[in-house]
Amino acid sequence: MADNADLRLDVQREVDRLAAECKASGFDNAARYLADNRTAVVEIAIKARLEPKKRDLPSPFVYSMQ
Amino acid sequence: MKVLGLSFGFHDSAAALLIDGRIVAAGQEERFTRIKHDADFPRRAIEFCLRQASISIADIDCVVYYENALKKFDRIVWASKVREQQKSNGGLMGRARTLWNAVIKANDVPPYLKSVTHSWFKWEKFDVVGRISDELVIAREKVTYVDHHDSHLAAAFYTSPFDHAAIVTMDGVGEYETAVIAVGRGSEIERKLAISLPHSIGLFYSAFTAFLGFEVNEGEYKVMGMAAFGQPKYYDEVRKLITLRDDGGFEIEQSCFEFLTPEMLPYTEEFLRRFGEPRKPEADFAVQRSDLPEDLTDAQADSVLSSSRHYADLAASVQLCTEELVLHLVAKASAIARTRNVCLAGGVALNSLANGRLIREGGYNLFVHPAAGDAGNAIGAAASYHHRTAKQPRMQGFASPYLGSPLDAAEVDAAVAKSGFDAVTTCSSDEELAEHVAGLLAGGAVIGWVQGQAEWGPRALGARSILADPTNPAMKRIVNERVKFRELFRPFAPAVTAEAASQYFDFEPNLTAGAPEYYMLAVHPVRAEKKSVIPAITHADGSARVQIVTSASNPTFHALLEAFKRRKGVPILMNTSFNLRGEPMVDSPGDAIRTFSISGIDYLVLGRTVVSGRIEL
Amino acid sequence: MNLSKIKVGVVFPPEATTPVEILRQEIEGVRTHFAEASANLTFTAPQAVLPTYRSLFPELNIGSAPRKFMADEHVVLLESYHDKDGYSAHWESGDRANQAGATASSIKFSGRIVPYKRDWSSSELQNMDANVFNQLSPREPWGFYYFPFGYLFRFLGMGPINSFGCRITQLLPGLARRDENHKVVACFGGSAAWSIFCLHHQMYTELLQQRLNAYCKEQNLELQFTVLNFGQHGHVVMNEMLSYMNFCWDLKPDIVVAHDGYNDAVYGQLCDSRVLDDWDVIYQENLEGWSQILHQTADIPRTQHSLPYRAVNQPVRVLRSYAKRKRQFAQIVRSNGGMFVWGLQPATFSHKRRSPLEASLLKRNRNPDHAPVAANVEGMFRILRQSLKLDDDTPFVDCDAAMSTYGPDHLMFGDDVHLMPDGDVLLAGLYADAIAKAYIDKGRWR
Repeated sequence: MADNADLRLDVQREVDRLAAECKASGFDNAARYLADNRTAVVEIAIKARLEPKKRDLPSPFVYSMQ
Repeated sequence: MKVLGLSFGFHDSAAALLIDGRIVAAGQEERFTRIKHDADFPRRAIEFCLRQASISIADIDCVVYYENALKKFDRIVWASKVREQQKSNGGLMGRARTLWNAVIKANDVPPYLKSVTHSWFKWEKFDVVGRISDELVIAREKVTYVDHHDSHLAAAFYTSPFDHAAIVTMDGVGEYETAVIAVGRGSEIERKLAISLPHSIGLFYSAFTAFLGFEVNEGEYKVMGMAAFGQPKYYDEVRKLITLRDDGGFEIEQSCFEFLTPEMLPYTEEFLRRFGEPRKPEADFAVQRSDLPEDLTDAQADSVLSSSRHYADLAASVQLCTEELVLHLVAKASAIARTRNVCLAGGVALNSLANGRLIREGGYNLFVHPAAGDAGNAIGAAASYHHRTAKQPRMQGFASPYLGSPLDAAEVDAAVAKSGFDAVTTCSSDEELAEHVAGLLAGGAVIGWVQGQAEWGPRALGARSILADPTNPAMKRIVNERVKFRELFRPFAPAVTAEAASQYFDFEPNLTAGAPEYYMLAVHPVRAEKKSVIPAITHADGSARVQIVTSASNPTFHALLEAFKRRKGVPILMNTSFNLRGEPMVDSPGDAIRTFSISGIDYLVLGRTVVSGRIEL
Repeated sequence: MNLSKIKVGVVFPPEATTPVEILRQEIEGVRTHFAEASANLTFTAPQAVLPTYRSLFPELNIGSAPRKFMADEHVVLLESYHDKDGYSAHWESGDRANQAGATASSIKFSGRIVPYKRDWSSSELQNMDANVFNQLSPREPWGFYYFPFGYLFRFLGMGPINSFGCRITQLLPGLARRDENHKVVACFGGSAAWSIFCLHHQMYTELLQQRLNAYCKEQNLELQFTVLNFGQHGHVVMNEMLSYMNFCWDLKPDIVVAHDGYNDAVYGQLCDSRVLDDWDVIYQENLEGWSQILHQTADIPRTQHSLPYRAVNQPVRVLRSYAKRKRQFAQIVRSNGGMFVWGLQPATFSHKRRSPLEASLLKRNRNPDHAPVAANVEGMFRILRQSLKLDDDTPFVDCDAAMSTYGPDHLMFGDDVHLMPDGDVLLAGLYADAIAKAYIDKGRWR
């Protein structure tokens, strides 16, 4: 995945949707944060989405029989 | 009605399936992925539940998640706001608000909030409904969620044997709440009191857990183990941090703790000023010289002994204060509900020392959900939906804790054939099995014991257990050195026939289905005259975390205990979970063989098949 | 390249955080690779850290790092290492050296020398044209490549290797015609046996040779020992047997040391159960990838089709295959007149009392994808040593058990299984003792 206009648009919409949902649900702290920090949150979200999702394996004992 | 409950994202993922009010299956993801405390989407646990019920996801009426993600995020933002205000000495709300607004306008998100926001977007924690819908390929409309402590309340009450009970849930934090008192009647649960962050028993205990050098959300029971070696010398200092309120609530003094925005440690400089240097993880622990390596100088040994006693005393103090807090909450809950029936859930409910006191001193009829932590909320979420949303009749309580993977005979045979072990015996009956294995145990063998369906919850209850002779004083050291590699201060627990329990332990077994002793969730004193009889499971303070076994609750295990009694005179076995240190309990025959292979266990019992660990290469 | 005529300027790292043990090994690397230019070696350091390095290495007469380099110089950068950020070569001096047309290289923590921002020269790419399989391989300083019997591995920068990638400088046909009193010890194993973190003279095989010859001198015996290192990365016992048959049959080594265990234990858990269960064959799982490439069958999943690796074979089943193959190797060696020494290589789990530096190296160099199966190996080694029944003629050298007697003052491991020079010293001692007792003292050489 690359940082492009489509990703940016998707993320912006997602942040707006989240802010609206939080507001509708009465979660004012979250709503204000997402709305008032929209630019910063969008950047954070894009950076997060572009990171590979490597699982952290604190105790990685993975075993199974074929 | 088929309801699938899920917990995942933060601790201990799990899935549970309720069909027409009956718990058909429940499994913790870690048992399948072999990743301890696996918090990822519980794909395999879900597959297991569906397989057990011979249904597909399309047959599910509703999938219920165990908490309200956006409410949780709201709390995180609120907590960050409060912390920033405190940092800027926001004594005046106006000044604080101005500062907060300035921070916001500058788009300068505080580091903690930035980090959490990043994590939530990366791991898609905001839209849990969407995530579940995508993962399971089901319509969004079929997915819903329940508040965290409502899940705990449901897990505690609806699975209990009580029609009317006081319910107390206590944990670190859900969305905002850290503890709730409620009354359960029939299908209804009525909330009476809620405590919110920053006042949290769970986080309070976890802070000391971290200070004592253990991993948070994993090492809390090690604090309990260490406490037995100490005296509550710091009780006053610790007790000062807690205020018990008349309404049953409590407050924790915050100067010592970082519960709002914990980035590294949950305690502050003030904590260190009061309680000294934190204990280094894995630091040597000993309360007598003979427990230490011989090559230590006297000065080194004295240093270890002195610091060990200090930390044990602190553990004892924290434990005592926590017990008081729990007793306080439960007393109030019981008074409000006007009943001695009490249901507990939430991580703090796993504090079996506190549970023991509730039973012996409080005289409560106690039920503790066996998976009292967040894994149990998979059942709780499903149960909450079943009763409160779907308005279904009161579900059946726990019939048994054995809800996990069954033991399949063909799978056992195939696994043993591929194991590389060639000394294999198959017993022709359960009676023969009991006699054979009891003989091995009486001869000093350490046995890996795998029977039937796996346990639900963190305790091994004779389905995925390591068993040994408790009459042998060396057995604790043997099991520790050969298998568990645990810290010396960690005790091993006993399983005892219900009939004989009160002969050995100072409590009256409550044979009501669901009593905490069935799930090894209460600690009781070992009778003074019996301590020397069962030394391997008697802890330093003379107590034991007892499991009672009846012929109804676990016939195979009961038969084994009886057979052991015929040989050694005591119907008690040392029972510890079948896993190596740092690993989840074994689940499948393959897991058991692998763990058995690389440990010092002498024999592995899978159903009626007994595998000897002796090989020649 | 006539090294004796080259001016070699060594530059210390710009930060003073690299542990002194690592710097010592890097300096040893410089001295080793530029032995012929020893008269022309100068040591320098950036001004800010000069006092620190001067106090650590007063014997080196460290000067201030020049701002200008000459085109006829070879500039060697000592890499830095710190716990948090790992390894780095400082760029400034290296870039200036390149700009001036000098030859720039860096020395890694193991003493390995690699080019700095330039291609490997033809003289640095040893043996590329030594045989058709080398020619057909990628012209890379590191890697596995095709050979009809097993595979080959090339690892440049640690010293001389022969045309098959082994750290052998002797000509084997000549050794095959040796005197009666000249004894050859052939050592086999994987990358740990190859001694990837040790310079040539630090390898356990070189040290073993010295010890055996010193012992013979002490005992007034007219014996001479040559020890050869046939270790190759990734080798399991089956590969060792193939190497023995290909390269050692005529050589008839008097003693064969099979220093292994880890690769078989790990790969054995990963390979196709049908191959292991029915045929006791253990192979490197990445070779399934070679099959996919060769036959264009990437759409058919491998045994390990996702990460991290999953153990698909049980520990004891793997051990049975490993022991069986090793007994087969012993039989082959004996049939060719040699004594077989069963060595169990050490792994990091047996060196629990480790220094902070060793713990840091382990953390940095550990392969997380192997972790699930590597976790079983400690238990497997324990089973092996408890359950192995060997005849009196086959010495069993448990290098793993010996490791537990050492504390943090020895830097033993650079990662889970590969030893630093201190570790190879231990190996040499253990094998020397075993060979002295079982072969020399018992007169088996007569």
